[in-house]
Amino acid sequence: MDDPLGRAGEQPSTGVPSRPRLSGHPLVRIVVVLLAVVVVVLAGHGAQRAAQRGVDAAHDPNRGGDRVFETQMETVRRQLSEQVPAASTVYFKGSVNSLWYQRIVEFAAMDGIIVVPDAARADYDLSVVSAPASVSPGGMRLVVKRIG
Amino acid sequence: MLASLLAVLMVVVAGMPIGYVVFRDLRFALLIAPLVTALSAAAAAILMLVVGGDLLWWLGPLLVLQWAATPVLLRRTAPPAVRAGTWADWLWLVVPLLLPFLVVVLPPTAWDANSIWWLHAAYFTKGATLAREYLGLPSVSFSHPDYPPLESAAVGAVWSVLSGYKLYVAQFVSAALSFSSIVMLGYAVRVATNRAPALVSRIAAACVALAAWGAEPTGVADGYSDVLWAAAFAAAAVLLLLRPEPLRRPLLPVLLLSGVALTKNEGFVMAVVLAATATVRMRRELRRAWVLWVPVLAGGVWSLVCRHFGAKSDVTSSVHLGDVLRLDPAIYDRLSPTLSAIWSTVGPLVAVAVATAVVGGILLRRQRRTLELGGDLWLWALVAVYLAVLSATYLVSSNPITWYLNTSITRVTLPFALVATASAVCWAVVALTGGGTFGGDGATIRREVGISQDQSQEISV
Repeated sequence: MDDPLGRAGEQPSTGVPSRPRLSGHPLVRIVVVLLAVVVVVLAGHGAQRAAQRGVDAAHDPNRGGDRVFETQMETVRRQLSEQVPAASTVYFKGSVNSLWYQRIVEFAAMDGIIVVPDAARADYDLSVVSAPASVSPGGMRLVVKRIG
Repeated sequence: MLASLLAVLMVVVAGMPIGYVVFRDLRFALLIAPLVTALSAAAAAILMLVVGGDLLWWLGPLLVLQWAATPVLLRRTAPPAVRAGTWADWLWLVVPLLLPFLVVVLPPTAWDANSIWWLHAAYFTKGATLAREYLGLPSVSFSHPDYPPLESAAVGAVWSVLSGYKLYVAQFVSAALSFSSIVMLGYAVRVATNRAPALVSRIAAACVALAAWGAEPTGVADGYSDVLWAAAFAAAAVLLLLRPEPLRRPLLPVLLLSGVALTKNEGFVMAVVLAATATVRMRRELRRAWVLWVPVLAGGVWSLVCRHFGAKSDVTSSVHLGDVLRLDPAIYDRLSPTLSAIWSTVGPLVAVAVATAVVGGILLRRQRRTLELGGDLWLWALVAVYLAVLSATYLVSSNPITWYLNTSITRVTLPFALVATASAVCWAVVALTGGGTFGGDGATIRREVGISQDQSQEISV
């Protein structure tokens, strides 16, 4: 392997049969290897879970993650783009820590819309409400009211 | 899906020239290219905010400059490559990661990915004026606008080219960056254990890389950036602290360290710590160590720029030094749950790794030296400092401690797991080989390639 850190004069190991010079007490070496194996097993658990989850999701897209929420996000985002012009200011009532507040800020940024903290400075008042999935895919709908 | 794959292709192609300068090998250049592109995009975002204009106005010329400068860089910085990396090395680095990376197909709905990284990416695409305004907007304060720009700038750059702000595109680009960082961690271990038999070294590299999934299995590919900085940090630490004379060719560790400093705030702090640790380790060649401080400078510039435009940090703005100094119980009562949460997430893993290092350090030190592996006390020093940094962050934050820990501890403890795994795996390599190296010791290696020690040192410069 090329070593980008230098030491280019050294021949890296590349699979040529080698006979390592054994040293160190065998028991010590076994203990160290076993301890390291425990570390690797503990550390690799996440990768194993991810592989399982990824395989499941690749086989059946509806099994992994929250597809309904994804649809709701796409719907609300599309409705914001369609109903609020770029460069507008909007007000969204709700805690800044609430899910839809944060999604609205995100989608607004994509459209160059500014979310303001008080309705008096806003062109539009926004809210996200439940709606039949037949009307609004995912079951959430953006309500847009012109202010003033 | 096509747009997502096209996006990944873009971040790979854009970073290829510098990737090639680093590796002198197209296959390995592919692996670091996304990280190089993201660093370029971060630089472009900072320039945009400082000077004005659009993200692509800056990124385009930066990339063209890199392409144009490549021949010069190849002439001026390249030591002659004795041999390129083999396909076996490449496959051992890449293939084990593919299956766990399938989580990238999950819906792009992760909270912080949307609320922080892709929100920042969105306003980076809107040009300097709006981006500056967003940094200081009260309505955006929840998204930590002070967080460094690496991932967001890369996503923003791709969104600027591919219209539609597709969230899957953002997720694939974010995952490509994490992938690049994780592969570099594996590569760093491969390089550090280079004197062991190839198969042992390759397996060691794969084992450490697979630790990057940690306690948050989807975190590598859901748009969060914790894996990105943690893997780059561990990789830079292995290269700088376990290799002999790492400053002879510092480009890769400097790129990785830049990624650490420009991805997250705790990454920036740890980039400073790692640069300082490596400088102390290489105190006899301070003339060269300055280069390690370039990433720190970049992180510092971002910190100043974002604060200039009104971005506030939830951590630093909530610190009350007086309360800290007079041991306010409201602050120090948070210590116990913090340490408890850290222990329950990575404690057993780190404890076994410490035991491995202690046994190895006492009984296999000589064999380790034969493999030219640096002492891993340096690595454990980083772990200790990060424990202090992380604990202090939880202590001084104004967030409710239970909520704060529940929403973050599995992600932010990843550096512990990665450094501990790297340490344990390196000791396992020492134990497995008994200190025996490929074909014997360094003198034998030099004989095999037909050069003297003096020539070897000359070439390695």
